[in-house]
Amino acid sequence: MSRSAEFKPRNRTARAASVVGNPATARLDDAVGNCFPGLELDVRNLDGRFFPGLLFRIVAAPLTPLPGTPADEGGARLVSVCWQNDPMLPERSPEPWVQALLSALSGDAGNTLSVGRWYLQWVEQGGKRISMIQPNGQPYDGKPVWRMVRSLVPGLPLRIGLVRRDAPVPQPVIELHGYRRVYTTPDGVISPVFEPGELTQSLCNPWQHDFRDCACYYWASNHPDVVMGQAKGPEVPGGDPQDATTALTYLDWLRRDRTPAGEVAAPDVRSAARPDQIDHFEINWRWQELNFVIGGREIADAYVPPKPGHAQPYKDAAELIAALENDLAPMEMTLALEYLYSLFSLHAPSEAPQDRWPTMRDDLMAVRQSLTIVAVSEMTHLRWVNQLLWELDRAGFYPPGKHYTPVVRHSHQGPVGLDGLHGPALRVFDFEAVDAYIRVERPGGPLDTAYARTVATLEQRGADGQHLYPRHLYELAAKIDSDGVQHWERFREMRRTLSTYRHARPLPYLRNVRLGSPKETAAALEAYEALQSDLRHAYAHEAAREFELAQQAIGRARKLMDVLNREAESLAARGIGVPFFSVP
Amino acid sequence: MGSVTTVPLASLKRRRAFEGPTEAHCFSTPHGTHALLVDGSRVYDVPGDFESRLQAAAREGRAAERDLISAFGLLDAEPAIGEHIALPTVNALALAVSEHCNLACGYCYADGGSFGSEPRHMPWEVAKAAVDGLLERVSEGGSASLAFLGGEPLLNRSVLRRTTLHAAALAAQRGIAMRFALTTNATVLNADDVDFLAQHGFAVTVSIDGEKELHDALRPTRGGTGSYERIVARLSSLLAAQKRKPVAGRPPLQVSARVTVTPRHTALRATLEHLIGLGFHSVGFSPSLSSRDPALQLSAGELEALLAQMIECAEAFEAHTLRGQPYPFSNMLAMVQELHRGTHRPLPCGAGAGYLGVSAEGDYSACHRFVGDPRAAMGSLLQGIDDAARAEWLAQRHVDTQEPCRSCWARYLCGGGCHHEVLNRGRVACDFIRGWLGHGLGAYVRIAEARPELLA
Repeated sequence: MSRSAEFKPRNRTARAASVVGNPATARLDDAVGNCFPGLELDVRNLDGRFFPGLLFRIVAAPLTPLPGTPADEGGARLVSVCWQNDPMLPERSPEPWVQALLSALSGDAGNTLSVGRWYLQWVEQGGKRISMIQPNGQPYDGKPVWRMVRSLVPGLPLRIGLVRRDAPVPQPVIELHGYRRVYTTPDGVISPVFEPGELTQSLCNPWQHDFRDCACYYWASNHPDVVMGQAKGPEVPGGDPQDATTALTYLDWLRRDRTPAGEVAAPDVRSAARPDQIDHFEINWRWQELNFVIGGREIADAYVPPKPGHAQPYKDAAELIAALENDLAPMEMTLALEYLYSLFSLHAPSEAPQDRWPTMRDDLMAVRQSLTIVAVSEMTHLRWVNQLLWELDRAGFYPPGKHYTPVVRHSHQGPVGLDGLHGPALRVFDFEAVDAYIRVERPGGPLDTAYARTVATLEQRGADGQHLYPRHLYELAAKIDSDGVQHWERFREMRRTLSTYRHARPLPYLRNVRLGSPKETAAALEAYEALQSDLRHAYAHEAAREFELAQQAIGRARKLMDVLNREAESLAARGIGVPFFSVP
Repeated sequence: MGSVTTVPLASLKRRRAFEGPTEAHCFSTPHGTHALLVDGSRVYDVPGDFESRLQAAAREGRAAERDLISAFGLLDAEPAIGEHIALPTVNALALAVSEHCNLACGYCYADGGSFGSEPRHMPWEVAKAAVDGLLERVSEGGSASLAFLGGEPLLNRSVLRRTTLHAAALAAQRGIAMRFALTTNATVLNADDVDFLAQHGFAVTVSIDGEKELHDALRPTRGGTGSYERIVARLSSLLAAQKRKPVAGRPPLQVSARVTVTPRHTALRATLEHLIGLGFHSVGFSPSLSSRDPALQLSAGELEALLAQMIECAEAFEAHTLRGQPYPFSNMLAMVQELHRGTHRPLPCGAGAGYLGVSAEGDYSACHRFVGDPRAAMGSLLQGIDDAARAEWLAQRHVDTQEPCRSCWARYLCGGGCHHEVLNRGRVACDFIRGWLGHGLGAYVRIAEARPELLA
């Protein structure tokens, strides 16, 4: 017998047969109904009628109550005594418990319950009594009370105790016996005791109220916390403000003060930010004032995409492929290794001294995390460049006789287009290194423009106006291209964090690392070489669309990355840096 | 001891009553399992186990069926069809302007046109009085319709025309939307008639039974010769006139073919397509169930064969419809639309309700077939419409009081069958009707899935 009855109306009279009541979306087997409060129905509304003849509402005490609100508002509050049309309590029922309950509710008990503020005091089932009052004498709030009500089962005798909280003189608890209601029939039809609209009287309010925040944060997780302000004044290529202060200031996206005066840096922690954020009632009114955010920046006016770069496209696909293979992919690997080396040169947070530099532990955590993110980002770029290459091969742009081969190696010269900077170097993360990285990653700088020609090439159209290359390749290149600004900003942020220590010698946050020999770092280098090989296999498989084999190779590579990480950290803690560049 | 003659049990138990669920009817299509809920003629998709649960409930009785439907939340507190039928205003009349006919069709309900008495024409005074009474009853902004029947109405074309003009003028004065209809054998149609009918936007029904040989055998002239050639000669201008731009405020001329289906009709689809090919706006079949000549009424076995042929035509209709091609088979057109609307009624038609027949002498009857029949007399122009007779007629004919209708799932779609046929011959076509409706339900769902835009 099917549990889910799906009666779908077909013709006009079927559709018009309006069943006054809760909407079709309030079917429990169909719905996303939840209890925060819910998208289609609020399941908590079912439990308001857990006991026959009574209607409760589960009340959660507000965080900031209005003056004069009683302190003990939370709990399961009795709203009304309503036994007359309860399908569990038919007047002529032969069941003794039904008759007893009916006479209680239609008699003295019912009268008493109709005056004053009555709450559920306890429930008892299977010989176990659960109190709705905490050990300290305060009532439990709505949520735990609801959970306890939810734990009751139909089919077992149920006793409940009700107490009046606003009685001038303490009154005896009223005890009632019954059974927990079954909310639906076996076919999933909701009991007729629920009135039309009752299940949907509380619902999520996704795009206003709950967007600010809500109990499960589902909607609120979709909005930005901090964003960069709208760019004003001169910009560097790529659309970021030239003025570093503006470029680097993160604003609270929910700030109440939307004037220029309100464009101050967001506090670090939410509790500090909360007083200056728009409140729930405000977001219901003023949601239109929240700005769109594109590329991490607020856009208040009409969005103007950044001017396209004037980079010269490569002369043909062959030149593009050569640049990707020989310059760009190796460049990414180089950067990843340089940043990793710098990362290992930092003390672990646990190595921070206990007696001095009270913020060093947190600073190290922050900087390490940020540096890791940048390093991983370069590794992602390496994969994306490989993907560009194999997709170009699949699309037939490789010269005849030539095919995609994976590029998983570092470069032997400095980053493309760089002048005045010496070649790849593994550095500890001192201020010279930080500044070098900032210079190299700056907007308009060599890394920022490294992909400009690639993007320009892939964007080209032919004489017939059609794109020469498949669009997804252009998009992939554009993605790599736009990643750069974030690195620049991260390094600037790291510099700011570490500036606390800049005048101390030696730099207290650095391990004393020197470049090790291949022999003393053999385990690390072995792991590194092996994972290079696995990555090559993975990319080759993926290029051939052998996804399962690719996944297996990636899995192996990941395990080796773990090994490498542990080895490198342990070596660095002993003052030895891994000579990555000794592996071709 | 003498020999005992045993009679086969089957012949003893003549199952007239329908057995099976009375409150719903299940059917399936490639799109799933469905059910018609009898109350309100509501069509639903239903879960796969609904049918077996319904059968089980039906074995216990109607109340159990209703409980089952109610358990799914699908039973309204008030049934769609109540016991009482309110008496509506009579806003449609069929005038037997000529109780005289030039053909001698064997199955004629009017017994050769004169309903068993002397052939006569309806005098102008009677027609006028009928029209005046009709338009007096209908309020401003309402609508009324006038059908000219007989016999052969064009044999009294002067009264027909005069009545039409009078009704059109009076209706215009009163702000009433007036519709005209004509049922004719098309043997005496002339060019003036065509112009007249087109000008007033008539809905014309031509009685024509099929290809020449078949038609001539069934619808001979009084001299015994065929009528097909005469009709076809006149049809082309009438059918062509459908394309004329209608007069302002009037609907366009519409000419439909009506086939009385007899045991002689053995290739129904061919007949249908032949008539469609002639250019009719639509072609409809009317099974001959109660005929003056008993050889021309369909027996139970012939109805079974007829159902198969009808379904063949229905399948052709469905195939064309799904392809977006016209196939004006009016029985299917009407059925699909009515199922979509969820038409549900306690009666088969408007006879005695909003519709009355008027004899040449000015007597009212339930409809055009009951002219001169005391079983359905409903007053006269002189004495007025007999509302008491109408009320009693409607109460007695209510499908929930009829056997075997009251326990049949098709009752609110069928309504009990044509009163005239049932009173003269009884209900012989129930299986046919159920079979036809059952097929129609499936076709409706299939068409609704494939071409939802056809069903508003």
